Amino acid sequence: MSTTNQNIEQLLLLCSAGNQRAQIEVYNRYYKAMYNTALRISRDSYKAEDIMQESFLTAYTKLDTLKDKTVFGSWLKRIVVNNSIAEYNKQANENAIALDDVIYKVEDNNGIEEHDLANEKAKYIIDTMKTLKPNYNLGLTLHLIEGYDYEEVAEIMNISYANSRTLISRAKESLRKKLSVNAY
Amino acid sequence: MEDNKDIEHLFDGLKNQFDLETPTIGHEARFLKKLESQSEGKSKPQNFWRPFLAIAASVVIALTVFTSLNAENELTGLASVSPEMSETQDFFTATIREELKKLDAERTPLTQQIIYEAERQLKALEEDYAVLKKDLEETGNDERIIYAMISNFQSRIEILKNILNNIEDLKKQTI
Repeated sequence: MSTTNQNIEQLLLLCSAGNQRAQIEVYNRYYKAMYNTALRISRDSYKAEDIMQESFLTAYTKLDTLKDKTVFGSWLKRIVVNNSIAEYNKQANENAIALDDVIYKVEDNNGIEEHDLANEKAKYIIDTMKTLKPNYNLGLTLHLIEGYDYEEVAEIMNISYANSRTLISRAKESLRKKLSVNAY
Repeated sequence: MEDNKDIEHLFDGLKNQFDLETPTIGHEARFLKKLESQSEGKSKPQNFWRPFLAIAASVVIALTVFTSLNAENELTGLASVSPEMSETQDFFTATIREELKKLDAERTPLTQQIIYEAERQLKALEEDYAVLKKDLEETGNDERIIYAMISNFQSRIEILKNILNNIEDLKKQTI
């Protein structure tokens, strides 16, 4: 339990040395954020867990290549994002994102009581985003939730900078309309 | 565009509120399993060092075996019987060493032949001693062997003394 209060840099040193307790501690600190990122992009809860966990394993084996350990969080997230994008593209190719799935999820979420207003709002936005075109949803997720700029989004989605700008702008417009329709 | 700014504000206000979902129960256990299977499979990238480690390990083992055998040999002599015998052995070996040094100093073309003869006899006695050492180990400190060992030492010293006397005589004769 001595690992609980250690700072992240110390923990990461232990991680790269193969200390399993440190690896689990780091996992416990980041899994939720990473899982949600993976889920938002891959839109498959089973795949999201797998992507998230595999990303941790990759991060631990490649930890030596990360010079500045203070950026571990964003570095790990980028691994998660890249792996999630790969899954997203696979699904897009298979045309596997069924509309039924999206609707089912929205209904399912409505059944859960949320006491936190901000959470409820966030949930509502995410659910609304899911009804957008998949690439709009992805662009918005990367830009507005994960915090990547146009250039980074372009890189992640493998599109041009101009396309990235246009996509995000149109996606915002689209989301705004949907939200206002539903809200008022 | 103005309106799109609203969207940005909306998201800014909800920062860190979007992580709503949690993995299904048991994800920690599943992760642990993956971690363990990874550390098992980790031997692959480490394969490069394996042979070196193996060589290093065998060198260490060989060294320890070698040194412990050497230590054993020292102990299985007369010294292994008792502290007194250990002293006796030390005395004999020191004397023999001393006499051998003297003999070495006398080595000249003239004395070459008798020194060679003495060394042959000493070698035979040393071989006897090695056999006695083995016997001592096997019989568990049999007294007769201990006496044989002592007389072996004495014989060696006697040979050396005789040889040195002979050399002295030889030198006197030639002067």
